[in-house]
Amino acid sequence: MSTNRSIVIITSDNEKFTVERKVAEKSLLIKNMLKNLLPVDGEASDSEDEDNDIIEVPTQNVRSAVMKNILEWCEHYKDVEFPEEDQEDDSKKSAPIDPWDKNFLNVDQEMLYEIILAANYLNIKPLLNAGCKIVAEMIRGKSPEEIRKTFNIVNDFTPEEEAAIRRENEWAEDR
Amino acid sequence: MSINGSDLEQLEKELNGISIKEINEHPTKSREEIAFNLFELATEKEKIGKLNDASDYYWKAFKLDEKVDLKYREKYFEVLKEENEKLNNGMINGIKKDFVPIKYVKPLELNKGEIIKLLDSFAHCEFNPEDEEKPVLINKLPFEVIENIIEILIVTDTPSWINFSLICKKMAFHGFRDKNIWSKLSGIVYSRQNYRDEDEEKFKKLIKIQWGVNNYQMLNERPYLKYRGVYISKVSYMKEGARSENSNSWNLPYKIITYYRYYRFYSDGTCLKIITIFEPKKVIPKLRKGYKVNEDIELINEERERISMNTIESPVDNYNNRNWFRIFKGTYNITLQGDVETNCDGPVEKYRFIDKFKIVNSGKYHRHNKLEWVDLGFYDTINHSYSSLNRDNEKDFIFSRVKSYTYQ
Repeated sequence: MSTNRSIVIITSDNEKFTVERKVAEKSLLIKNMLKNLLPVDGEASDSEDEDNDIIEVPTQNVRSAVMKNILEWCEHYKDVEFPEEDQEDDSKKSAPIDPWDKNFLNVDQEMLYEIILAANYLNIKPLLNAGCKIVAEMIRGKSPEEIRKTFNIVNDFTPEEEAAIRRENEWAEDR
Repeated sequence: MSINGSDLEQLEKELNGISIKEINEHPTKSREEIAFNLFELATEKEKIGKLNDASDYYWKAFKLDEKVDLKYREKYFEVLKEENEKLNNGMINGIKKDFVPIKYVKPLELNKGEIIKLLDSFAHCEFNPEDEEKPVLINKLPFEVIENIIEILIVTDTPSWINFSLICKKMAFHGFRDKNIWSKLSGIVYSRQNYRDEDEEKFKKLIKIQWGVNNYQMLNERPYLKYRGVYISKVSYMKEGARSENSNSWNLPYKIITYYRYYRFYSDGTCLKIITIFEPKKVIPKLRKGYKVNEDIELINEERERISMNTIESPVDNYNNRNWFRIFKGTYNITLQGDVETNCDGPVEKYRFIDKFKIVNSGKYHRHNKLEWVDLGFYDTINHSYSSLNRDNEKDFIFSRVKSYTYQ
């Protein structure tokens, strides 16, 4: 029974989102939290008055606008089992971004970083990785000057410093 | 200055064998313009080592316009200036600077240790916004996330990691001084080497003693083969001929011989090699597994064209282009010290061709990018004998990155 129970997620600005347990469990942080509160096969806790037993999960670091997005992602993937991310292999890093994710993450930079931050905090690895790949795509193939423009960062090197650091490290780019 | 490839081919088609009459009657170009084109063509030929062609075009260019070199130089500097201006359109350190030729900045003369110290001095730098009205949004991301992004860059497109790390002091500290990043790169690099007799397994302890967890130093010092590109050896030498009996010239006739050797290594222990008269631009797209010279539509069309034009071919041309694109396959292994040995098939079936190299640095700022010849040999599989060939004219191989080349 409890696997279908709804979870209420409370955001930093006190908005409440009610979602299925398996949606919320896309976040390993929440999943581990629930493991302690609501054992899946715990008959005992089920027999108590379920209807009133609302599980509230506070997430102080995530505001509602971001949580709305996060939950949309979790909803989309609720039936997908992601393999445990123990072995960080390169193939996962070099795999192209899923088109759905790419479209989903087609947001402004501020929202993108907030989603990444929230995914990091809530421990949603596949979403975190997809977000990082989007940022990597914003960098790939660009010159330092173009990357600075993308991120609104000023060049604080002297040209001589920059040239020296480049010259010293450039060999490492061939492999 | 370089003109792009298709323009160059077009130009060559137009100008190859052009007669004085054709030049004088050219519908669109003046003598000077044609001279200029010939000069451009000559510099491109010179760049790729086709010296015979180059000197021929230079000669013609000067013949038509003796000031062509000055005009070329003028145009050349103009382009550079424009490029620099483009680069400098942005603000530098918040102050709009006048013309600063970024391309020709003389790097600070710092040794490796000093560079490391410089990078470490950036440890507490922060991102500063270019447009001060707006925040630096990426500043929100914790370092572990930035690290994740850098690792994605290293795996998918290593040069982007260098460019990303060069955007500012803070990022340079993260990108070049973070141990995890060098450890990641080291994992990628060394896990793909094919060691003779499982060298690496045998010497694991020694590797640990020598470098421990200092992957940066290990990558600097421990040789490795690179896969995402091609090793090229350009051989060019002069061969003197004999004077004809009644000649009264002072000099002996000579010819310049130019050819290339290419090696491409794969992480599965196989390799491809080719010896050809063709320059990298033509060879690189063909140097891949599964390339079949007999199915190369480009070559077949070229041949058809030549036959239909019914041109008189020189003996070199008669040595069919297909023969210049014969790619030989083989295997290789390396030692921890960077000795490479390849074993490939070749034009003679009963021989195995065995090349030996040492991986060395081509200069102070380059690492492991040169294959130095040790031996050019072959093994007779019928008589079981081994011999070496003369390699007086051979040149060492230098690595060039090729974007489209992957590990497999």
